[in-house]
Amino acid sequence: MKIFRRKPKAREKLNLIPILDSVFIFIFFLLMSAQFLQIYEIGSDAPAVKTTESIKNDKPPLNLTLVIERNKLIVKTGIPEKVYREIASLNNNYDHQQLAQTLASLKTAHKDEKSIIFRPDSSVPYKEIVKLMDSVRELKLPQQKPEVLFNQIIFETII
Amino acid sequence: MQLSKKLKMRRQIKKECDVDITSLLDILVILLVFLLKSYSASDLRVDLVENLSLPSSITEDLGEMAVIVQINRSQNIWVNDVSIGKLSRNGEIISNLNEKLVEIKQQAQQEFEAKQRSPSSSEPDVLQKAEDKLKRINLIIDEELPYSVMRQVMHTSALAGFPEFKFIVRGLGE
Repeated sequence: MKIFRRKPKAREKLNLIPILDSVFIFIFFLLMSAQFLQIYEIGSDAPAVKTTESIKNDKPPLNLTLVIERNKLIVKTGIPEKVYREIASLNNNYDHQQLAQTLASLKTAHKDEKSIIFRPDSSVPYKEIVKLMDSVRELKLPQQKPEVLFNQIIFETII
Repeated sequence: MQLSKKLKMRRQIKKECDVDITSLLDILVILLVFLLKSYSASDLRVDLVENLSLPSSITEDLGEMAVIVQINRSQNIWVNDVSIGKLSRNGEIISNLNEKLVEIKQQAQQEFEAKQRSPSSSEPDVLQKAEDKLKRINLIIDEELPYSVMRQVMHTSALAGFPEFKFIVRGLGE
């Protein structure tokens, strides 16, 4: 009687060389493009002086101006400028919430207006100006899409 | 004796040596995950100078490569990673910054004109983008500096031919 012996199966080893090769190249690419400091930008253009034939519009321009003083914010509108609202600081910090609400109500009345003029006091720190730029550009409400307010910021008396 | 010689001369059967790369793969996968998380789609690369802390912001607009001006807390100025000294005021104009920016602007203008003449880049979109890029300037200012410094930097930059200011800030997630 013949005894049939099972041939032992040759163990197949997984070839990891192509995987290693692609992972190394991938890592090299990511190392070159990695940035460990998340940086972004806020744009602002110098006020441009240009002569154009403006289309006659019945609606007067908003001319929204934000005067930034050390202890308060003043929102002005119109030509000539009129004080729309004064926002006092809370505990030596600007009241961003009140500012955002004020600008949101202005935006509702002037949907096409996008620009705002900043007129800070010389001693206001740069970080406070950045926080104010954030507040005037967008209104973030909980569980709602952020509402764009005035995202064209112009600093007065640059040129 | 002959037997011992035979034994010595006997070819030793070489064992196959397997390299265990499990731990290497483990490290690579973790490294990959970490690098994927810190991948940035922006072409802007910034080497922050000493004594400069960026203000934080909620904005998520990615920056683009352009002239970079850095001013640290001690009011030293760097333009494209080259130190040009301390902030020297001549009225509203920072004279050393103005000189450097005018030089860079002239150089960039010459390169742009050369590109215009080149037949390979005659597409109007490409040329328009290159022309717009000539006006951009990335401003990296320490968060504690007052607005007066910021105003002078903007004024000087605008006069030198860079009226499009991009304030570089740190994301809030940092």
